[in-house]
Amino acid sequence: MTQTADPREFNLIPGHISEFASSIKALHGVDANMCFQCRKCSSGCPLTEFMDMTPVQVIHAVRLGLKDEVLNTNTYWLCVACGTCTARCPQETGLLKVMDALANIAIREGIQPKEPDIAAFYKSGLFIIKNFGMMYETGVAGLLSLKTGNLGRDAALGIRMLKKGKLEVFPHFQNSREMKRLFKKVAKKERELAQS
Amino acid sequence: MKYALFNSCSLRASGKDYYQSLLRLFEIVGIETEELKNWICCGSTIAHNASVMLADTLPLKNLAEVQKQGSDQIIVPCTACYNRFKVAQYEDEGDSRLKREIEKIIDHKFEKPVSVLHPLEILSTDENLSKLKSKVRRDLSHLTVASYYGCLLVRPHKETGFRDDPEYPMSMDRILNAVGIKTTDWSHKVDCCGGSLSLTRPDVVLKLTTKIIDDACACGATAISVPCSFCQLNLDVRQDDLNRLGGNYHVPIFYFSELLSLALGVPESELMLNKHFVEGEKLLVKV
Repeated sequence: MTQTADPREFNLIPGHISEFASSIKALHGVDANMCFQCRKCSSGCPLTEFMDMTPVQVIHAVRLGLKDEVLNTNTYWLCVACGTCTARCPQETGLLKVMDALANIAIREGIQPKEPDIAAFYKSGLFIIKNFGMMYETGVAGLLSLKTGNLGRDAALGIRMLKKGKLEVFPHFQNSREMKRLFKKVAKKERELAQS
Repeated sequence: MKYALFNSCSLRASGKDYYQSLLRLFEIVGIETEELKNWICCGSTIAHNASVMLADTLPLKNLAEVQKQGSDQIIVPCTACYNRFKVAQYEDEGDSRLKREIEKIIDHKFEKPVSVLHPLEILSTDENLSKLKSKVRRDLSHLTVASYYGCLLVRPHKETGFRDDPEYPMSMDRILNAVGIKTTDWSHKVDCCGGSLSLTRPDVVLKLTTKIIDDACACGATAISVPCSFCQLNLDVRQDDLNRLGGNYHVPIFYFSELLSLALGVPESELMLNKHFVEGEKLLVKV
């Protein structure tokens, strides 16, 4: 017989709508409490086999207020935003935006990402578009290799793409001053909203 | 009326071949376009993880530029950009506070919305379908193509509003059929290829792309047609990986615009087919 671990215990208050779910609703406009656990989101999700928690478990955990549990999964980092969950949800819960909200919160609160490479990829990409005004794929790959120390993996694909002329060797600047201004203005507005 | 055209980041690098074939196609069909000048990156796969507000601001800034350039319609060939533009518009419309804040940040008021269109939506109108039919110059009826739409065009449908069925779209099939290319029924039309994990979790991407390619082959496809530069790269370069692991994959991944251009008589030398990893030229020759 296989041994199963004892179920973990959490302090839950029956009938209580979690503060965590309420704060996600207030900031991102998605209502986790609409979910009736039909699991269509998870049966359609192409990545469940790689995830710590399936999407339906994530939304349930959000409702229960298990903030640390949810933020310490790899689920929202692995989400590729393909939208299957959201498109098929009969309750229009907006799971895709819950995933975004979780990443937003995790970044803001400095949670150690469970998928550090993916988090580093997004961070590098954001740095590039902020400073160049457009994507520079070679630059992102370079930054990522430096951050993750995984030079071999990224270089192999990079070299193949360079050979095919699918990558630009040098970066271009596209309206980068305007881009930096927008980044600054959005950050300022977000700070104001967080304080209000 | 002229359409504005969003010649964005990926179309200038990994999707050059897509852009080149689109321009030739538009020229032949008579769709007039003008590149959007004062554009910036729309933030597509990257910005929404860090900040929802930033993710909506960047596309709306571009749409403001469309109106400043004197147009109210923009063609967005990259499906990641297309998705981001549509979602930002949707969220902005549904949230008057957000709308107010973003309009202040980008210093532009939208009196009426800009209509964001994917080339598939324009080409699949009845008028353009019959135009395509009348301009066929090359017989490609020996091909059997699986049209792969991927995820970002069709989902979430309420937000993208892509003018087709989100679970079993047919617009690309109809366009290819119009120029005499056979398409096949198959199950993975709108499955995800893993796009943004390409660099960081190739193991995941390999698994997803293998499922897609295998199903296309099982349904008799000899090539796959795509509307997105991420899909093209992912499906194309991963076959190389699979073959290194002992597989035997040689399914050319064409942009729909390349197949159409070829059928309308554009010579192969004017397209950038040599940028594909899996060689497709041999398949195009009718034996």
